[in-house]
Amino acid sequence: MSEANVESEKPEASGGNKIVLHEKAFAHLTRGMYRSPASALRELVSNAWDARAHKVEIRTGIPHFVELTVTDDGEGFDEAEFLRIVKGGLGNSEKRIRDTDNTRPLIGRLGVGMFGIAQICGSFVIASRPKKGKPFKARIRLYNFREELDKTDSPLVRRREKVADTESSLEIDIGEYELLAFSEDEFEGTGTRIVADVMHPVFSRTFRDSIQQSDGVPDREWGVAVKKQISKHHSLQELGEYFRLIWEIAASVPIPYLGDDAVPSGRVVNVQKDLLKEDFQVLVDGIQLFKPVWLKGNRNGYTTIDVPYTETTLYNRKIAFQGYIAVQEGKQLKPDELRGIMIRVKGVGIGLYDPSLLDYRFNEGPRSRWVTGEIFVSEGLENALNVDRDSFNRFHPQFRFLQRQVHKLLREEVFPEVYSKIKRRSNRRAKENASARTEALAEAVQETFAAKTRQGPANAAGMPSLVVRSIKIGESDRSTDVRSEDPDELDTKKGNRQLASSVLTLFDLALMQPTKNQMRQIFTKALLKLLRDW
Amino acid sequence: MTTFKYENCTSKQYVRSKGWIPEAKERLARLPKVSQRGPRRRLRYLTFCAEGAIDVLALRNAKIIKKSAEKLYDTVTFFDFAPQAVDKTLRIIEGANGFPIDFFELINSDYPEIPQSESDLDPQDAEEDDVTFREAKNRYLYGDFRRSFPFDLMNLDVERYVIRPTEKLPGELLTAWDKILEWQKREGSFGKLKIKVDEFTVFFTAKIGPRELPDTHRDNLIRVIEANIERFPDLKHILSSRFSEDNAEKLYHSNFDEFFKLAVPKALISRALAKDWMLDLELSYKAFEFDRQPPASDEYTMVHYILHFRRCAPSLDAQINPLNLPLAVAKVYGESVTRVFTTPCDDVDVSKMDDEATLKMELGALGVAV
Repeated sequence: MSEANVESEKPEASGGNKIVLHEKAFAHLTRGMYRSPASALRELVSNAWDARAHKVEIRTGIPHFVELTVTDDGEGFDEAEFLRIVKGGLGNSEKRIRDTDNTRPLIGRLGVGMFGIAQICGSFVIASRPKKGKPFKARIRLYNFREELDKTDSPLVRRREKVADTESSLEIDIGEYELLAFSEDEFEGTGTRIVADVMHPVFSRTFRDSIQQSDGVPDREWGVAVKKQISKHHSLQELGEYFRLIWEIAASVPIPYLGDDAVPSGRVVNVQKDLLKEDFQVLVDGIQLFKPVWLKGNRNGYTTIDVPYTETTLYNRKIAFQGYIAVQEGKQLKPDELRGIMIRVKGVGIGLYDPSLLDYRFNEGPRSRWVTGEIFVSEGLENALNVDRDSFNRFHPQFRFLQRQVHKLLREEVFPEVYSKIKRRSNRRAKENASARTEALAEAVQETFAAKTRQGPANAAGMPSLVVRSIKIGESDRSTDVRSEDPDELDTKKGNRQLASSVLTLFDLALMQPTKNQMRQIFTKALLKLLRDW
Repeated sequence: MTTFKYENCTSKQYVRSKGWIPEAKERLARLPKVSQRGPRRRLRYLTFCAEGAIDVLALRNAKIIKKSAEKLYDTVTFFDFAPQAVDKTLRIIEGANGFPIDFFELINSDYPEIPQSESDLDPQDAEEDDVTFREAKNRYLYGDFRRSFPFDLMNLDVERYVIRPTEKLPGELLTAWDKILEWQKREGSFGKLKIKVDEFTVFFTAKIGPRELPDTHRDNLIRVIEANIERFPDLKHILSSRFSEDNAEKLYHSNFDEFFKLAVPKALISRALAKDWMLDLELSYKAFEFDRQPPASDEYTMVHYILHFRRCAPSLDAQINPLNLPLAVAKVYGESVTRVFTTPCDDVDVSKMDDEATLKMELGALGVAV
């Protein structure tokens, strides 16, 4: 670097100047933040988890889909906390104070999570009955302000009169709330309920249409839906939005698996124990959900490895994780959405399964469509989350570290094992084919030449040979010593060698016929029989 | 404040037990078979669902309502105002078709028919706001409700007055009744099953009153009965012998409750006739009444009617002038009105009965803490 360049980077005054983000950017967060309704609902489930709920019930309003209700039996929150959030605390929720007996990791974002539902409805009602403090009920209506905020004279944007150094100079109205009368019989105990009673017609229409299609509604037993219905389809797209919503919720929230044997070799036994200990249920329209992972019944089996517990500190921040990677040998996973790696931060799935295997840079062909896995991050990675909490900043050092560990396992352990199994399967199949074809040759010889045969010695590749001991010519048996040639000795394509060897055997036997005409006739008959059974 | 527990009411259970269940069994026995050798199709039921869905559970326990192979109450349609109330009921009768809206507001709307698979585009000139969304919601629900017809059994347990003084004639309840009767003639499509009904049963419940009706409503009710008396003179004798009055107006003033108990079923039957439905005289007509005294409210009397209807034969819909009643229909109508005039309400006073313990036991079996 030249001296002149160095000189130009010297600050004009001491201390850096602050870079400020316009408040309007934050205002947009309350709408349009989540990828799908399932992501918004996942945030509400996360809030329920944090509130130590044991049961979350989501009602989609099937078959009309004109209202949606999410009810939990958690500790709720009081009117004061609600007012703090709506009066400027949005996006700045104080994490619930951890009681000494709360062992659950906190995962939700009370304010933003709560408002996420606004993405699919015009307004909604929230009611909460807390353990301590005043219960409340309120209707919240968020403005549809995308264009409005861009106007310079928008009445939604006001300059604050008295502004301390640390405060924002602008206030943005993002909506309205109205406190409603709270009825004591709203809840049997404590809890929170969100009722989106004015759903966006596009949501209603899409979901109404989706349940009309075949297999559009899951079986009441989620296990049956996962094992029988989904397995018939390549992708959740074939099942429609309603089924997809339920599947995505099941995949992303911290609920147990269908069994501790849902992944072979006991890879999720310990995770399952921890999840069962939490006693946390999520029901959608009365269907109790479990993680939609069921790796069983594949003819070629599964290759599974543990992602061992790994802990490190990067830039003064700790990251700790473990998990598993599983490969369904020789068969594409169904549905497609199960392919890839799911990263769970404190039990909550971030986005969906990543089919790129966290940007794995080697082309493993169709093998990569056999891979699924989960990484459970117990500490760290939260700062790598993008604002939608549905994806990661791929250049965050903690993400890069995790990615490297996963890729190393894929490259050095998972795929080598997969290729080795493929080779073993190919060899076994080749031997089975060779035996079957030798058998086909024997049958052609026996049937056409009325021959007596026996199996000869196998060649170096283990391919058995055929020895013809006698054939019938006219009315009499004639002993022979015709042996099928070792296919590997024939100078032709590997795939043609056994056929060439068999044809030569038939030819040798045909030559023993007394006339050219008989030779041709019997050779033709034997060849056609062989080809029929090949 | 103590909330009155309607579901605990043993008098109501008496009506269920002695009225609804046996009459619903009659309806069930008349349902057509799915195929020649197959079972009868499942009964389709519309209700306003009591707390805890006990009417549905009572019908289920009596094997009148049957769940689907997937264990869903998918032949039950019910209404409640609030989504959370619908959710609560769905926890008990999973798979039922719950409508989270005021029944009268919905049915008395008038939206055009929309195909089941919604392909209508988003409006070009409407705001993307609550008002537009609510309009769409009501439109969807209206279409869905219409498509859920016909029903075999309807429990119109509305817990309100038949006519409210502020309403315009004929009142929102009777307007809704007209639409129900019209929609009952639809051919419904439920999965692979096409259903058309020629007969159905109604459990109709209402509060007696209000006594201070506006003149237009009062005159209308009186006229309805007077017209019958003029047409079927025997009714006058019945009126005299039962109530010591020989005309409807006198009865209205001297004994409003008895007048009301005649006028309501009479109104239901005559409006049904206008829509090509008549009372099925092969089946019973039953009426019950009992008093209620909720805390912090005046005592009132509930009346329960059980009416079986069937399509008019010959059909009035095929008549050029439907006001010219065919003789056969006119005969049935006359007998129907006579039946209403001669059948007193069964006065349910559980305290005077010896089976209160049984009724409480029945309620207990339905999950009600008595």
